[in-house]
Amino acid sequence: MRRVGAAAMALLLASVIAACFVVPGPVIRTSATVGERVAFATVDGRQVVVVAYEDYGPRMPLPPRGSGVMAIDLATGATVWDEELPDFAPGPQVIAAGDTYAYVQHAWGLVIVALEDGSVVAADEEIDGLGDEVPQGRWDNYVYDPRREAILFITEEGEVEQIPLDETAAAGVDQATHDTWWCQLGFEGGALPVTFDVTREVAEGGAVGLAPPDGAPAGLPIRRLYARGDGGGRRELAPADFYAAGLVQEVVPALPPERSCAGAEWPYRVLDHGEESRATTAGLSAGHVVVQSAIGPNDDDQLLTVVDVESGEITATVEAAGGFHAAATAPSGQVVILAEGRWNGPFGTPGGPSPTDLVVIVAEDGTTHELMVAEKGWFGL
Amino acid sequence: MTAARRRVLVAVALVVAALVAGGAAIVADGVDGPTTPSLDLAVTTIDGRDVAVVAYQHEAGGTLGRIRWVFARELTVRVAAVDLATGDHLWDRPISAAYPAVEAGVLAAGGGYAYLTTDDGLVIVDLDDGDVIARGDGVDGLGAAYLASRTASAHDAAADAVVTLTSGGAVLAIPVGGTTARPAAPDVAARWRDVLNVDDDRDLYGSESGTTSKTALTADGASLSLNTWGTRTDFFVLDTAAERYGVAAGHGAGFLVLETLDVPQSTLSVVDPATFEPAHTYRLPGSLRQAVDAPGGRVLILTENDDETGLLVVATAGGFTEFEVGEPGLLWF
Repeated sequence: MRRVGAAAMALLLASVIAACFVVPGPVIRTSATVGERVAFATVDGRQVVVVAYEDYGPRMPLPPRGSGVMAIDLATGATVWDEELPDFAPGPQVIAAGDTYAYVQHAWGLVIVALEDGSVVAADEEIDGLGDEVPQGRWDNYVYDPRREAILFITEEGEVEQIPLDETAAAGVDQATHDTWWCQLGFEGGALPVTFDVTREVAEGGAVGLAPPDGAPAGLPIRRLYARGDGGGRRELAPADFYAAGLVQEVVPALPPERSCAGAEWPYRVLDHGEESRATTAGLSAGHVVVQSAIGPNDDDQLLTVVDVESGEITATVEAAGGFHAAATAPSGQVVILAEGRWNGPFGTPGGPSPTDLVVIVAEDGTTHELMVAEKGWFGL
Repeated sequence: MTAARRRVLVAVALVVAALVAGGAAIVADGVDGPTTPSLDLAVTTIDGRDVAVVAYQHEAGGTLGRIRWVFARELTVRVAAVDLATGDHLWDRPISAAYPAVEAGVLAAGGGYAYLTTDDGLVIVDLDDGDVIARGDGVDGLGAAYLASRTASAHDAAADAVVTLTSGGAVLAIPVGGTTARPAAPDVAARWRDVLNVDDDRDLYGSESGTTSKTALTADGASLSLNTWGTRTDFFVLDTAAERYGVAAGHGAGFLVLETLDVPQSTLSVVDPATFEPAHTYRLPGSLRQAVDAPGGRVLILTENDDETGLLVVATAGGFTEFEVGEPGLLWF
């Protein structure tokens, strides 16, 4: 009798432990944050966006899963490759991608990955010329300067160094590069922080914008999308009601003017407030806008709506409950939007859905592909 | 039973008794803590008693309250009917436990109901017992078209109705004494359509620092700038001759309440409107947060005591009476 009881108890215990790996909960959980900076590249003739993410995966006290980098096909939204970064790479961001390599900056250093398959080519102290004292990656250390086609960083000794694009070794820089960058890399009081989740009501140029409907009461929270009419005035584009709405902007950090660090004093503001970045309405060059709005007048959850600015047709809607973080336009024309969605898991997560990041690709025809980053399925895989 | 076993039993019984007594003492101590009455209150009559219907924010206090804070944010918004003669709370009910706390104000009371506007929308409560009759999307005639906004509803004095803006842009009215919203009469709608749901800076709990400036006319025709909390106090007469600079209320009650600004605490006095002769004085324990005229020859004043408990001070020709706002009770839910 006692033996049967012990067996039943062991079975119960085993099934509880097994359930942890089947039922979403502390072990199986999708919770990832995508770095705001992404890069575009070509892999096997496919146009891809390379994004880096931090995967929070299981809850405490289980160890976090670490960080990853992935390439996503811009035409299909499919994952080309998805690889883990070496241990302890918090807050990873893809700062540049060339023909061969992508460069991932994180809080404590830099990782170079091969664009072909995402494998790590060199990380931190393995990078030639970086030495044992790897410069930390906070406050905009490791930035890409397209004028020089190089990744620039500052060492602990205050020397500016570079890794030319598609190379894997650090080298010194000329005086002009030093004078342009030394005061904008890697310390507080250097480069102004850039906010990427910017929206605005009216697109630059004023051709498209959100406004209250005609004759609406002053306190009405509804906005509609309008285009400037041919003979002045405005033309309603879509009859949809948007709440707490804004047009998603693509924010591009500005480069410091050449040699602007020479003679500068701390805090090194070589750009005025408001000039540290430039915002343009995402998708507008391809003929659509992305409206971020609350799903209802009394809701906080957000919705992204893609609207054609010619026909007013709504070509796609994406549930992005936590709103978007950043938007970027690919050389091939697609708009990549990083947003926070909700993961429910195979059976629905006990304790409610968990917030996790999505990569949304808006094609030039206004349709979308969505990809949940680091999504966990059965057995937490 | 051996003597040793008996001793153990006695010891266990003593420990249990001590725990029970301690627990009972903690429970009896209650959860009364700081209360902050909303500046918007309404006066009505329940069973022949004049009452103020006051919304307030309450933080759990006492030992039990501190224990409860461990598990949850023990911050609620409640509404109470306070007898203006005795200070008795006819009822005192919670309307929200949201965090951060919603702002709430009583727009009107009468005909059996009180109407509150909150950051979560309109709330209608029964004046007999404080039961919530309807709230948010549950209000008849409003439903899903409600706006979760404190400024989306107001009281229209001329029509004696609560007006509210819908998410579709219509102005609806609920007559005081009713529970159903219907399209407002054209003149009422015209008065409110561009006023409702337009953000204002009023801070109904006065918890953020900030003052409102008003210019008052003195008896001799000069103007005087006053800074007070964001109240809707009416300024009309000031006794500059006697150097009593401050708010005055009591218009039509046959007396005036003057505030004499002293540091650190002001003094209120009930004065004869003709002579400014003070008949009664009251030292304000806190800041003068609100002063409104109420029926029955009363001026209602909101302030707070040293324990941060909100006080409702009733001024009449006969003097001042202060009552604490909030009787959340033992479990207060």
